[in-house]
Amino acid sequence: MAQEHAIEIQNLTKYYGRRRGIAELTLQVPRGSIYGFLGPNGAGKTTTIRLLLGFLKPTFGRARVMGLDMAKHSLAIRSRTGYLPGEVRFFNHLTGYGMLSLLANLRGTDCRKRAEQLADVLDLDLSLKIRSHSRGMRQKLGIIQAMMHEPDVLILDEPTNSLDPLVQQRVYHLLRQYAARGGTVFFSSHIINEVERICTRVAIIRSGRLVADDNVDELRAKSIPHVMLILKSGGSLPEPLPEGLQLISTEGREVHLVSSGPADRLIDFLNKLPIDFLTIEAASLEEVFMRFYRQEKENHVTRD
Amino acid sequence: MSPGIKKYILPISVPIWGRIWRDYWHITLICGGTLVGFHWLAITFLPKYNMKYRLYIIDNLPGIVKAMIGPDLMQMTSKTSIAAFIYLHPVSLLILVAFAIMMPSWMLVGQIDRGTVELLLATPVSRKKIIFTTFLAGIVGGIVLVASMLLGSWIGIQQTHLTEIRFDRICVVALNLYMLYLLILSGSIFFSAITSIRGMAVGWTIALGVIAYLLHFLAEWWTWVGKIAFLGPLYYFRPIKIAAGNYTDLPKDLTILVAASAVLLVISMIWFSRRDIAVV
Repeated sequence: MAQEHAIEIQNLTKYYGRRRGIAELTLQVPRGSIYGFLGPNGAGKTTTIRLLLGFLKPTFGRARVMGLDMAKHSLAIRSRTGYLPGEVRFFNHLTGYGMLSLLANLRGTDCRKRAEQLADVLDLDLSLKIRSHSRGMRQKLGIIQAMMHEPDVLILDEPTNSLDPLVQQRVYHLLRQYAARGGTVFFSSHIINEVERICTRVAIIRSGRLVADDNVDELRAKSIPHVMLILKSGGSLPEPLPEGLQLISTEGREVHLVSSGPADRLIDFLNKLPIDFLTIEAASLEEVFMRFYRQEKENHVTRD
Repeated sequence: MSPGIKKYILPISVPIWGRIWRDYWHITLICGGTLVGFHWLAITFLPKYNMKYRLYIIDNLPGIVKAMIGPDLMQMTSKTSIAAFIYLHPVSLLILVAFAIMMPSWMLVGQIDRGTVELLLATPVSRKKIIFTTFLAGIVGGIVLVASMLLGSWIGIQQTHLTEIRFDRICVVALNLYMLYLLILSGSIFFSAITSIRGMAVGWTIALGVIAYLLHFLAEWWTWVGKIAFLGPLYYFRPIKIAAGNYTDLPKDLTILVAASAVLLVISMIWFSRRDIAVV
């Protein structure tokens, strides 16, 4: 029976001595999705990935990749996954071809053709020694080695690091094609815009804990809309503001508000105001992220 | 046998094996060539060595020098034992020890240090296989180096026509040295398996080697150290006694060296398989 989830993580916890890496992380990555794993540096993204691939042993908790238990079937999991480390490092004295054929041999597969196709798409010369590669070229090679054996799951840690915008678009295209063929992408990043652009679902991690896990659209819908209005001359805001509305700033007739209440309450309120100009914008994922970030920070302060 | 089945049954990883030798063949050849040359040269000096002054010279050596050379010095009564002494010479030992330390540390902890281990571990190759492949490469490297020493000795003997040198006993000395090499190799693999910085793995192995040497050396000075000298690996390497032909403990020594290296190898495999590997 086909698994519904490509990755299932349950209460996964990792301590480095007394320091917490991740704590009781639970999430499911649907098959065929591009799943964003978002968080600031040091949030625990890389720790989660390393646990999934068996580089680290969990303090407790469990994870399954393609239905295979992380602790028991690490080798089988690795044969079905492609991985791009956050900072990819190669044997510098080899050529791109040499490195890829070493990794292909370690996997016991012949993926030269696919590797060449990917190199064409990403415009990378595989005959050059890696020593002479720029950071961007190394990143391209990293992406090729992760994808060349057509894995079921792709685990990418900051995949667009050091890539120029044009190549970034090509990578997004490759990932969309891959997901369309049924592959699953676990896309770890701290760059909100790219997660928003290509991911169907996103988890937000902060200080080793999951703070949100939802579809990108729903996450955005849950966010607080921004209201910018310009009042007519002589107009003013009533005081106090209705519940759910919060004044951010006023500058002359220009007023900035955020609304966390129901939409009809906001519309009623706006109807009663003398308005010259009005915009209502849904919050970007960045604002959603920052909201979760702030909440978590406040919780920390309260706990302390 | 299909490649899929072979991948799981073979105790070594062929691509890693190939990688090691592509990176280490020239170093192995240089070390081997140096050892052939050194042992050849050393044997060619033997006809110049006047046996009747041997005891006089050794007796007049400072005590500390005698202790540094080892406990069997007074048994250097023949050209065979002097030829065996070349296997104790710092040049022979340094090259062998350096190879035993550098190769596994490069392959194991060196990859963690350089960050290349992440790509290696992301492939379906077990950590036990990585350790075993490294160990096997070390075994072969050691065979090449010790065989080079023997080749040098043999060429020297042929050239100088020193028929009184018992080459069969020199071969046993080389076997004893090889077993000692295996223990150092396993020690190096052990420290490479438990640390994350290559310098630390190399440092620990060298530190332990120095302690082993001091134990051997101080055993000549202090009786109580002599009582625990059996804890050091050099206690089980007795080339001069072997050359003298009256050493009966050789099978026991070889067994202890092999057993100790097997134990270290097993511990290394278990430790390396269970440890966290994180590139910083």
